[in-house]
This record gives sequence, C-alpha cells and structure tokens, in this order.
Amino acid sequence: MKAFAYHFSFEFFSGLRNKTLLLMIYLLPLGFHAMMGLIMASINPFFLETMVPAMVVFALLSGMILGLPQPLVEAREAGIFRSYKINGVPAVSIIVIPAISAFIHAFFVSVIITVTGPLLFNAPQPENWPVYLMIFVLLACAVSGLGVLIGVVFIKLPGNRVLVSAHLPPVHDA
Amino acid sequence: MFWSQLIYLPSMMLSGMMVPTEILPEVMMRVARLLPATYAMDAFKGMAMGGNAGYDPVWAAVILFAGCILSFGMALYLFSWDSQNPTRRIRLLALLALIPYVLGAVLLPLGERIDLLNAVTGCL
Repeated sequence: MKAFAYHFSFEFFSGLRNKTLLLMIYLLPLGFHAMMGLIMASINPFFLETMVPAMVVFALLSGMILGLPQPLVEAREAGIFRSYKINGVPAVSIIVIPAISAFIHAFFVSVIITVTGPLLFNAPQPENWPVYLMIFVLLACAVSGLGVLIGVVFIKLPGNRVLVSAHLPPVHDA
Repeated sequence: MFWSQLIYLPSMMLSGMMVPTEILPEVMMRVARLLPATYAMDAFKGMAMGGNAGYDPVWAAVILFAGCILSFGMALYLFSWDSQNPTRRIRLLALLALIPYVLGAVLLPLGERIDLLNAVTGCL
C-alpha cells in the first residue's frame, strides 16, 4: 500500500510538470468552456440547459481519451515497464495509477466548470448533486478505462508512428 | 492517436454535448449510442439536470459501469511489459470493451426526434 501511495504521488506531481497533460486536462477544457459559454449559448438555446455537464464530459474526454494513452505507450517503449517488472511493481498499479491521477486532475477542472458555468453564463445548476457526482465518477471510470486500453494495445513504430498489432510479432516498417 | 481521435471527435458532435441527439437522423442516433459520452449526457439529463433522456437513464449508468469494468479488465489482460516481447494475446480482443455500448445502441429505445430549426425559431 505504501509503494502504491508513493507511486501515485510521484505520478500525480510529475503530471503537474507535464506540459502535454496540463494542456489536455486543464487548458483545453477550460478554454473550450469559456469559448462555448460565450458563443454557443447565444447560437443554440438548447445548449445552455446542459452546458455544465457537457463541458464536464468534454474535460473528461480530452483528459483521458487524448491524454492517457500516449504516456503509457512512451513509457513502455522507453523500457520503464521493464524496470518496474524487475523491481516487482504489479501491472495493476501501472494501469490504475495513471487513471486515478488523471481522474483527480479532471475532478479539479470539473469543479471549476460546475462553479463558473452558472456564475458566468447563467447555465442551470444540477438539481441532484449526489447523482451528478455519481455519473461523473462512472464516466471518468469508463473513459479512463478506454484510454488505458488504447495505451496498452498500441505499439510505437520507429519514426514516432503508432500502430496497433492484432497478432504477434508486431509489424515494423522496412 | 488515431483511435483516441476516433472516439473523441464523434463524441463531440454526436453525443449531445453541442447539439441535442434528438435532432440527429435515426441512424446517427444509433451510432451515437456506441460512444460512452452519449450515455453520460443521457444520464446527466435524465437523472441530474431534471430533463428527459428518452429511456430509463439508469441503463446509461449501468452501461458506463459495465464499460469501465470491461475496459480495465481487457487492459489488464492485454498488458505487456515490453514492446519487444509483447504477450502473445490477440489484441483485437480489446474490442470486447465496446460490448456494453453496442448492446445499448441495439437495445435501448431512441428518444423522440425534434426539429431544431422549428424549435429555435419558436423560442425566438
């Protein structure tokens, strides 16, 4: 448990220094939230009714579907997982810890979106907060699972290209 | 990555984040049900925001939960420590993680379609 906590804290705090992660999880969703609140609310009157959950969903998708796979692929290609295996780190930790870290980052962004949506753009607040939180957690788990799965399945070819291999051995360009 | 974008970009347009799914053609409404974001928006609308999802939104929550379990399960099963010596498992099995969404697309009823243009002009 101590090793899990140490691994998680390292992953979380190193993520704060990762520019790609900060872009995908913080800058992109919050910038999009501001832009959509200013533009879409006047174009599409239906948008405002579900603006807060829509932007929360966007934040989760950009953080987990776009942000999770690449670090996993790069870490495997760099041989980091080999070192983990030698030192007894379980595979579950390698899969779950990035997802939990991304979840916490996405939670912070979602709180900002949920608070600023009604304040800045007069979007309606959720009526049932416990259910709202439950659906947020369910979606975060679902999309983080997909993000991790994509990161596990894909391999990286020489020349910075990524390919999924259905059968082994993996195909390399000539 | 291509497969990440394949989930991300359709989710933006079809899941109900930008425009209501009720304005889509019936075929596209079914396609939208293949995406987890669609179920999340339906669940938010039906259970948290006081709206109507077109079907019992509890099923959306169940599908998301099943998708989570299958995704992490398949990720653990297909995980390899090293790209040079990957585990000898067929990676197409990863598509099994989409089973809950496919079942939702096939079995859940579609909501009533609305004409966005008439609805918007009616509001103005």
